[in-house]
Amino acid sequence: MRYSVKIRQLLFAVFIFGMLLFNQPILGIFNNGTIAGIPNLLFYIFLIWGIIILVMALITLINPTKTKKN
Amino acid sequence: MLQEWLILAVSFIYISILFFIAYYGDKRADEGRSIISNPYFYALSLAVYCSAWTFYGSVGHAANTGLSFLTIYIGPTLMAPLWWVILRKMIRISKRHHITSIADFISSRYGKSTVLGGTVTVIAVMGIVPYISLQLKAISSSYLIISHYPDTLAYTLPQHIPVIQDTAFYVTVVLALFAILFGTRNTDATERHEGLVAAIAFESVVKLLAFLLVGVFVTYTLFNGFSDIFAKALNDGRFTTMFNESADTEKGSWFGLILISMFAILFLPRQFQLAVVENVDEDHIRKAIWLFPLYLLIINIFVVPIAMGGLIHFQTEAVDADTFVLTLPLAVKQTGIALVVFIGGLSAATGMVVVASVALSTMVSNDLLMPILLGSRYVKANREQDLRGFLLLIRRGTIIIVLFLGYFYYKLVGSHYSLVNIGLISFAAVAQFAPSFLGGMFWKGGTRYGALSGLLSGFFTWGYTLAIPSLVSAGILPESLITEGFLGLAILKPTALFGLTGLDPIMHALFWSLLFNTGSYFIVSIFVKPSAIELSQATLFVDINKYSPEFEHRSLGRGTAPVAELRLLLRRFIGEKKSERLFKAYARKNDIDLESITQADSGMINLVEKRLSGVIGSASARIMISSLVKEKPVSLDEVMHILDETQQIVAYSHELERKSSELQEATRKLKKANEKLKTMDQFKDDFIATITHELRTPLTSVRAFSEILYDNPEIDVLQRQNFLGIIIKETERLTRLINQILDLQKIESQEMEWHFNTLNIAGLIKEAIEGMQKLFEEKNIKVSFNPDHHIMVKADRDRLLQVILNLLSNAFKFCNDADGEIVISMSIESSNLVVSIQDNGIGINEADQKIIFEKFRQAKTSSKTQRHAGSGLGLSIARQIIEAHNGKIWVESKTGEGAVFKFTLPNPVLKEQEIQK
Repeated sequence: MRYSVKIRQLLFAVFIFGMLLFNQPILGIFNNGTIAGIPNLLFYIFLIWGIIILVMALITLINPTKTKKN
Repeated sequence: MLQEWLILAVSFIYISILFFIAYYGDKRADEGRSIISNPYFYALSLAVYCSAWTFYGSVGHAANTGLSFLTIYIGPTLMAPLWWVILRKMIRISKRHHITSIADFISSRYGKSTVLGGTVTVIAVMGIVPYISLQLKAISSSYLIISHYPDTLAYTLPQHIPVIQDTAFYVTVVLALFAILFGTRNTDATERHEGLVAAIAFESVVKLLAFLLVGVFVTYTLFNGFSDIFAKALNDGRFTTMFNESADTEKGSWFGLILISMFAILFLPRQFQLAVVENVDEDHIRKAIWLFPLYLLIINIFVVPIAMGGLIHFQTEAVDADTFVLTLPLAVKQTGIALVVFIGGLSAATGMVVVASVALSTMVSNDLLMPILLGSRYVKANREQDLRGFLLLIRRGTIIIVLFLGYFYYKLVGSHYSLVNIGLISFAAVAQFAPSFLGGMFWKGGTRYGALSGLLSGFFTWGYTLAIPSLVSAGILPESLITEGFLGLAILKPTALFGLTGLDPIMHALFWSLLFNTGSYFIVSIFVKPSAIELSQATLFVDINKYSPEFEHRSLGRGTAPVAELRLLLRRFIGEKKSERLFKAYARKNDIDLESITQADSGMINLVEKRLSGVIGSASARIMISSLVKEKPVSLDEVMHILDETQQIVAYSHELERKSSELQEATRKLKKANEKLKTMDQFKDDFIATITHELRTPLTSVRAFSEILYDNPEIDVLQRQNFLGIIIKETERLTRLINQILDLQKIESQEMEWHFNTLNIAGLIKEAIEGMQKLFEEKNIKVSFNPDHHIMVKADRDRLLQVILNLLSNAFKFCNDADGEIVISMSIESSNLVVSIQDNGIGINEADQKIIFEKFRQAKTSSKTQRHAGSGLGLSIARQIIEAHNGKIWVESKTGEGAVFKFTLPNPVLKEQEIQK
């Protein structure tokens, strides 16, 4: 139960941060220029996307057996 | 250009593989060795989200409008973390209530309403049929391109192709067959379609690999990697704004698109089917939370490079960007890659079509047709007939109807819209489910009429602002409707409702429809009272974790029904074997003899109703059951009461927790009390020892002197007088001691009678001093008491005198032998009379100051003077008396410096008259 609550809260935080990072005004920062030949905005979106997936994977790894029926 | 026979052969092989996988999946499921029961298959099956729209349309969207296509995948990525709560609850509720579709979910939540279920079904069909047609269009046009490229025939409008030559028609037929074979194996829609899920997961792998293949091909064969494509694209002036989202975000559409896709991943019928109905284990969500977004990310990596590559490669040629994934390989004669891409597109489209048609057919048959058909005379007349065949026929028929609706829609209007637009229209339609669905899951206040008005207003706004304009652009409705508004009223222009301009059509529709939808849902819910069944369903849904399934079976519903009738009913829908198994299991669990009882209890009725819900939908199941059950109407209060009771059970466990902590506290206190008791016991023992000693000493001397007198009758008179004097003194001492004990006992047991009178305290003190005057003089002790005023208090004269005497005799006992001095004074401090009696004796140490007022206690230092001291009860009695007067008594002292005993009495009255000295 304890782990389940913790996972829930962390995942909710991911949602909030994702909402902020994937919307204006932050997106506006990356309007121009390129990184390694890739347009900034495109690079940024995929980077954040990847990080979010990684973070979610790590969060859901927390104690995989105990929360089964909670 | 590829030979048509080759394309058809490869397609045929691919479809055959699908059939085989589905067949194998079902076979394994029947053997009890599921192949899909793991989180990877679950996540892959969810990727049915990526339809032909993703496969072909994303590139087209990226080429035409830039990066906003990504929102369609960012939305679900952001919803994924919320699955932990939302999807889990959806699955739990659906499993518990045998829910098989969104329509059933909403209908069941709001009191098993047929009207609501029907409404949701209509919205879903209207929203999804165009989406299905979009898939058919994609298959058809991709086939035309791959078989005719670069022939301009490829761009023939679908209306102009005869049905008999139309690939889409044959595809529709094959998909209908597939959906019927693997989507309607059984009447019970809650039984999973494992073969179907396995095939969908396989298709997800195929479309991903195909898309990656063309992506790598374009990026690394046609160009020299990402930076090469982007360098060329950025040099070309046309594309510079493409990597700039400001154009989209200014209109709010970036955020809007994320929101709409968040709803889509939950409420698209095909997503609900795979994520909820086909879910094997809710813990699969754990991995799907990140696996599914990962799939979305991977399939999107090459979208922008392909779009840029196509734009650069074809330059000014009129090639539809939706077809770049096919036309790019074809343009450089890579027909093999083009064929793989075609198969990939086919897998994306077929996956969506099959699942969507199965999901829609469940809705249409259970929530639209069943309530009507089950009320028909035919069904009622043949009470014993097995209805399973009839049910399957209806479900299969609706699959065919849904698919061909899609086909005809495609024939009629499908060609006028790009893939993305049709997809978004569907998204906007299913977004209408969000308020009543989410509201119903987390808010008990939502009611049937609230949900109905929300859904209807949202749906009509959607139809007016999105469906009508799409019909106008297809040439079915007059242009003037858009340009001049309905009835020529500019304020009712479908694309600028109430004068709202500046948003793109999708955002415009989304804004108004969700505004009306959410608004009326809440407002009507708040003002219209729910019925009993709505209320109980609301609680069962929202508090799904608080109620055990056993409770639901038993408590709600008060009726009885003939067991035979129930068995007959269930048998008609799920067959004799399964029906009997269910009844026997119930009987065994509840220790009932099935053959001997005639009336079923509410638990059994609920069980049958739940089971029927899975087959014919909750609203229809309700209708069937209520025709059998003699139900006492359950009032709102009763429902509240039942729910309350169960809540109390849950509350009870919380209560238990609280109690146990209270218990700990009590134990702690008890331990402390016990410690105290032990010391008290010790004191009591000591006291009894003392008291016995005190009683025995005078007794011994009384006896000794009496014996002397008895044995020596000739003793002289003087001597005799002396002895008798001692005997009298000792018996007096005995009497005093016994009186004290009796006093204490009386006060403690509250038997003491008090006689309160107003009395002059100075006079009382003087009386006490006078009484002891002789003793003081004997011991040469100086006593001073010089009051200035008369002070009157209300007190029991005799008792107070006893206190003062006790304090004086204490002072007397402990006074210095050489120059003893006792000072008595009185004053008024903060409306209390304070009397103090000071001696200059040995004093009392600090530890003893606290305990000398407790009964059975004496100051330890007093042991050597014990022969003077009485029982150790005097001070205790004094304290009891003073406290009975609402006063306080205490001592101030230091060892060796004498002691000051003080006591207070409340409410003194000062007499102005001075005391004459």
